[in-house]
Amino acid sequence: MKPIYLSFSPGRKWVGKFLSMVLLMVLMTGMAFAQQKTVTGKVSDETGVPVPGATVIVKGTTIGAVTDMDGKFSINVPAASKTLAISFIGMKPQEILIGSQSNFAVTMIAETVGIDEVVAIGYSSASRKNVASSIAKISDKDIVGLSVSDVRQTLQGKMAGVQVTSNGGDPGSGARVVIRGMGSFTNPDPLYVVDGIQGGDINSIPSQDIESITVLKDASSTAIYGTAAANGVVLITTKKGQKGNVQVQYDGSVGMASVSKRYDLLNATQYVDLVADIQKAGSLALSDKLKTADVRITRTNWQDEVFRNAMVHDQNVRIFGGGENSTYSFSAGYMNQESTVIDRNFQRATLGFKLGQSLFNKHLRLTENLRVKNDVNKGILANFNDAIRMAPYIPVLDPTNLGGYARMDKVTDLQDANNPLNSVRNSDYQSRGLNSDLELTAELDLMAGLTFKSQARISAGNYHDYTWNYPSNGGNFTKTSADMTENFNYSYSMILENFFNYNKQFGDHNISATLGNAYSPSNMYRSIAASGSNYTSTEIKNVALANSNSITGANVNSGKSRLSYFSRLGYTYKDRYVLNLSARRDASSVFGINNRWGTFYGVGFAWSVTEEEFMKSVTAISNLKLRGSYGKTGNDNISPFLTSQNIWKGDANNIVYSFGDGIPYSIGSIVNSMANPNLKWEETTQYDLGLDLGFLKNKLNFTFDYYRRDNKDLLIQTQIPLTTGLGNPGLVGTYWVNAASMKNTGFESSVSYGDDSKAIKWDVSLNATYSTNEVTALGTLGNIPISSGDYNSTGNSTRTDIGHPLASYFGYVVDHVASTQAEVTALNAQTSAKTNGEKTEYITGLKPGDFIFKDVNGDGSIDDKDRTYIGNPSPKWQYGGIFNAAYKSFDLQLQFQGIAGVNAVNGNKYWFEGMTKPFNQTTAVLRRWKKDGDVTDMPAAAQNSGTNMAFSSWYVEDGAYFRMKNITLGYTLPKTFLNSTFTKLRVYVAIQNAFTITKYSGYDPEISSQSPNDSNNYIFTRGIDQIQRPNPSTYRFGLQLNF
Amino acid sequence: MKRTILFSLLLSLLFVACSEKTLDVKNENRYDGSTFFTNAISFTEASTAMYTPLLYQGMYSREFYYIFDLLGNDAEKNFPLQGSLLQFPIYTHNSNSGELNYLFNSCYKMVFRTNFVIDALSKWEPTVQSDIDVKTSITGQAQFLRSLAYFWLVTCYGDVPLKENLADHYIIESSRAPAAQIWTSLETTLTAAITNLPLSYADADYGRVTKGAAVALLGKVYLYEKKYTEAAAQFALLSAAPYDYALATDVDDMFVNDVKTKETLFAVMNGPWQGWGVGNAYYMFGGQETWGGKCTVSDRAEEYGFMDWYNVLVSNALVDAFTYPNESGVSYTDPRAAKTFYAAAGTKGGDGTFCDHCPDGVLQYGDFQKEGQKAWRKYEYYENVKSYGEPESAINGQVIRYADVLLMQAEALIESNQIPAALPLINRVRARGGAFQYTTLGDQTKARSILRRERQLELAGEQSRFFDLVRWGTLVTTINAEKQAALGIQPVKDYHVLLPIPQSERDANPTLNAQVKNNWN
Repeated sequence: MKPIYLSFSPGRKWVGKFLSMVLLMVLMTGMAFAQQKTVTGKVSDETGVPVPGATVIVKGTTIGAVTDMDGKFSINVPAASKTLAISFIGMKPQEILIGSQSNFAVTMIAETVGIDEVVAIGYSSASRKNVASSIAKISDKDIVGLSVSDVRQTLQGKMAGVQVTSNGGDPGSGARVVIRGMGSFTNPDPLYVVDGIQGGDINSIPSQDIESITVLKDASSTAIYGTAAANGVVLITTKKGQKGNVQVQYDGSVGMASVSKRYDLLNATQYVDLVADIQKAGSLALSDKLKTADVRITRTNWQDEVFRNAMVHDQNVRIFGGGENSTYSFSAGYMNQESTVIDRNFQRATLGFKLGQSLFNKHLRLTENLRVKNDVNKGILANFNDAIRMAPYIPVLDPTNLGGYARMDKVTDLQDANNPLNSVRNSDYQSRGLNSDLELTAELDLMAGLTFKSQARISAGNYHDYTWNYPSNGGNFTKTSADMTENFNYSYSMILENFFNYNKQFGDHNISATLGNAYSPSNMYRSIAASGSNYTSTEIKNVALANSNSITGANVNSGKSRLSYFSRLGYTYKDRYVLNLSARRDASSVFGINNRWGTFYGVGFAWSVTEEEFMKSVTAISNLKLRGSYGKTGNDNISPFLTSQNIWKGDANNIVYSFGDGIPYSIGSIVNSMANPNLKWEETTQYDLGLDLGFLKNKLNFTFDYYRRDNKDLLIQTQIPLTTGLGNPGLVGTYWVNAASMKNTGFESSVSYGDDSKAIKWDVSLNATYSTNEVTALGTLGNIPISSGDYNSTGNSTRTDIGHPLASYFGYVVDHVASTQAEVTALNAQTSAKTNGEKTEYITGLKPGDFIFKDVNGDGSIDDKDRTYIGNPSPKWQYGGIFNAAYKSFDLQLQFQGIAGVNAVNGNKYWFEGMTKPFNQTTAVLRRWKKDGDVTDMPAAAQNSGTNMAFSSWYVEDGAYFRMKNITLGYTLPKTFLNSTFTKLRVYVAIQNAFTITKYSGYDPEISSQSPNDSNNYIFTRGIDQIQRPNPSTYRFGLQLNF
Repeated sequence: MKRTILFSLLLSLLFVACSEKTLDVKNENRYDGSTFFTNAISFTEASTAMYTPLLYQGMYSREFYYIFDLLGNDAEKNFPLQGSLLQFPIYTHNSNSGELNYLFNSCYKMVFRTNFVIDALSKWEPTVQSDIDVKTSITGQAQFLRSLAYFWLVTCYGDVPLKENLADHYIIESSRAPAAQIWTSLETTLTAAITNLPLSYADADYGRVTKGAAVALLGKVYLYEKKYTEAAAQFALLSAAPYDYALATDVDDMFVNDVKTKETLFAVMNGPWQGWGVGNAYYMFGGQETWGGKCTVSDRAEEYGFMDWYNVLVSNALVDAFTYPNESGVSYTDPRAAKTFYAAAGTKGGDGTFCDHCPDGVLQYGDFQKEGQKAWRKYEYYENVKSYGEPESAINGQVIRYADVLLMQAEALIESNQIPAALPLINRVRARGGAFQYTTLGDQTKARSILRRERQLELAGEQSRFFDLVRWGTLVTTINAEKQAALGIQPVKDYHVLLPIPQSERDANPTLNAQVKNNWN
């Protein structure tokens, strides 16, 4: 046996090794020299990585050994011994029969829901039994099944209380995470912490490199990150090198993505008949062209023209190993995903280096991590809206038209949708983003249990994109010469954190403590945007060669800086009573000088009932832990410089006026806002009551949590009256105040069960969350509701008001479509009677064939006061689950996810079923009201469309869905087929987004918002489908190879 | 011992290393408002920002002409028109109508900017004469522009909050001032503006407010207040030295060719589009000062133009108004029809051809528009270009022109019963348009009806008629009669003489909301 490696580094390896060492010493003394044989073997984890420090004991004896750094062990066992028991903290204990065999290859499986699991808690890690908080964790095996371009997507459906919504189906479009409901009016994003340091580019980590993702949900765990923790904390831990010979892991897959759903659109004849109806409604004639037989021939299926089967592939390789005092891990990834919509292509290349050294007798430990990511996006995405609206009789190509694509003419075709292929094929788009994160840490042992750690991250990024348009005529517009826009930026940011960690066991008392500070200066940033037009030649795409060009914007260093001090104290008595305290003081530059500092804290208490003597006899319950926590966290997610009066020069120095015709623009400068020097932190207080329950020796585990989060002093951009004259052009002026309050409550539950004792090994974990969101206070000015979500001039579709969920859908209620003139006349007579003749029409201009809205306020006629709450954007239920099964060499994984008790707004109906103008529509419009007496749910074509298309319950649908997120079937080649070079060969097929069950009528019920990357938009227009590109189904074939 | 020292060192690192100076982040994207306005250059920039609201939504880049051409029934909807603009021709506009919201909003934005500039200028004490001149002139321009905004506000909305200085803007909930108080304030401010403003500018500043514009607006204020004597006196000033206003030889110079004339007293300056590289031709849809880049075009030619978006037609009522009996009682078609609209084969006096000056030659309107509709010619470029394809009209929006001044003067005289004095003024405007000369205007009633038709014909498509009809008290009867003939409806109610207070103002200003009557104004 090699010398036992001693380490002070915290974490499961250390605990494991320490215990192993103690155990070994005990064992050695008791070693008997009976009749013996030597048994050797190697312990590795599921991925083939050796497990050093695992304990191997001959069952029923005290004889045993600890594995060396290559995972190998050698034991002299008595001849009578039958079983070896292998254990390692964080992994499931195993027993194997000795028989006549003398060399064993043991594969340990990570324990997913163990009560002794080690979890990251921010600046440190702890055994779950010493934690009083609500913390959820997933490990690599729950992650690798998916091929995703955003790490966040791997979290979807995996944890109670954590909602993940993808930003759409385009590769690279990202996702957003909301933990325990919307808790902010400015930014609902949680704090991301990569390898223990705040921030960093989470998408520079391929999912294969992730060891675990931990989500801190309650205030006692998040308070250590006080500043930015109001929306929860996501801690991502990446895989590091391990001692042992060099190992190579390859994981690659190739597949095809497609969107199967299509709208059922009108054919040419049905379309032209619709246009005739629309023209008639406007007392206008059909054009001569539309009277010919030629336009009744369907020539193009525009949806098929813009959708395609997309190729995707994903390659990752990791090389790692280490010696006595150093470890290394090198990984490289490449992902290439075509969009299912022409002509976008997304490529990502990542490189990761992770080095670790131990110095001074291992008392000083250093790590150096570097991650580099390069994203390349190419091609303009086709516009669905245009694709659906195009007339079916129009061909795709027209060589006589500028640019070569057919166009529609307003005079002869009576419509002006742009040929979607024209903009795709006559334009060129490219973006490149290169990001790098360098992380350096140094940890020094000061005395037993006390360490000092200094950690820093330096992030640098470069980005460029350009859009180039060739001369073309798309229909609604003509570009007679080429033009382009270009954007460039670079950014640089850093954070430095220094802290002490203390952890010691005194008899029955375990004490842990953290004390430190964080320093995060304002980032450096510069960007410039330029545009050029009127090119003499289209040979070279360079903005400088344009005959007319200008700088359209530039930004410099607009970040914020923070200064923080933090502390934590943990105390556990006899593994039964756990007390966690944490406090943080933060200053942020975005607030006024008097309100910069905020203090945040968390308190957690837990009682492991099963550790009590009186519970020892209750064998049915293997774990019972009660938890409670309370704390306060903050949020400083607002733009900087709102506390001072700044000069407004337009977005791009474009306050312009031409005082003399033909004379260059005069440039303007002015003040247009009102500063609030008193802005301060948002405060979130949260309490959490939790219960952990384990049965059948913790094979069956339950976790329940009830939480209540109260957000107060929420930073809100209150609308101020137009008469103040403040604000940007065309917009209502706003004023930032700490005003609103919100309440999120929820009940989270999860259950897991695993059985690996039989030939078919399986485990399942399920989670479900019930949550509610309610606004409890608004701004100072008369508590004016916040209206948002205006689309296509249908009026605002969401309202945020006291007593209702944030951004509830708000509009008219459709009762039915007026069938006859007699009905309308009777209705108008009622209105006259009810209003004493003041109003003579129930709805202004109401005709048969129009929607009849409900008279909500009962005043006899319809006006904006008849709008009401007609839908909930915040899912009451969210759930998900993972099922794993293995039989012999086969393995199967199923992942599903869903939401319920939620509405979605199908905003597409305005364009696709609204019949406002001659555009192609879905076949639903064949049901349209045509003549007196028709009873239908679809109004007459183009009649009173201003009223009929106003935001109403017509757009609101059931947004619930169940999605089979992933099905993976794998086959691992038995070891006997492998030579000594290869340690593992697994092939698999996977179907991502296999199927979705929903009543939603659009392409995809997983709806983010109108523009998901804009936080304000995301908060206030959630669930409004505005031609969001659907998430595709992806079929992949993959190969995993270790050697 | 060594360990203790190390420990202390590390501990001190925790609390000493970071200075609070880190938190003093400098804004490197925006100048500081408290130190910026200190010299003639920065004040000239501030003055530019007072004019740009004229190109905002609700104003002359788009909505202003839609709202008032449709309400005044100069324009009638054509099929491509959609959205809330459809409300105006049938008078179903309401407190949620976006265009009206923009109008109200942009007027107050202009008020804020002018008050801000006046306030900042008052704190500047220049010593050099050229700086003193800048200060005086910009103060006058600000006073005029604030007055123009308030003129629109008081005529459209009646009682509105009156913001007379910068501090008033920081009172968030303000209540409505009586219209009479606003009219008085307009008289005071414009009188001050006349003193401060120069007679004219160099070419580069041609579009700035002149003394003459302020005199004309003051006259118009008196006219709206029915102070006819004062009004006539103000207008009369403009026909004598030092002013040298004159009618343009051809109205096409203003409305088609976009060339400088002596007729313009004040116009919104639309400049040519300078390409996608500089500005977004669609900036008028909310891109002003934001995503729209640098652009000052009007999209009127595109929106109204029959070779472009063709959203509106010339109303039948207006077309028919160009044909009226002459002094002998014989039906006469006013030649100004051909300057105002296109009609196939020149029916109803319209222009039958377009592209008269295009390189590829003259085109027949009837070959392109067969439905017998009459399309706008005024403010279109079709005599020179077949179509632009983008909204890029540089034709300036006339706000006050000399013909309007002459007709307002005539009106003031007629209302003061000085009818013979009004005759030459009316005839001067008619002569330029090629219409016959009246020998007499008859009695006051007859003179009034002639004058009112003159305003309808001469100022067609210039957002004059709605204001005129309201001022004359004939909006409801006139428009209802015209709509009855065209659409078989009589949608105009008495309350329509004012526009509804925008819902967004009412939502954000409970004090004002409490003063709104009948859910309207």
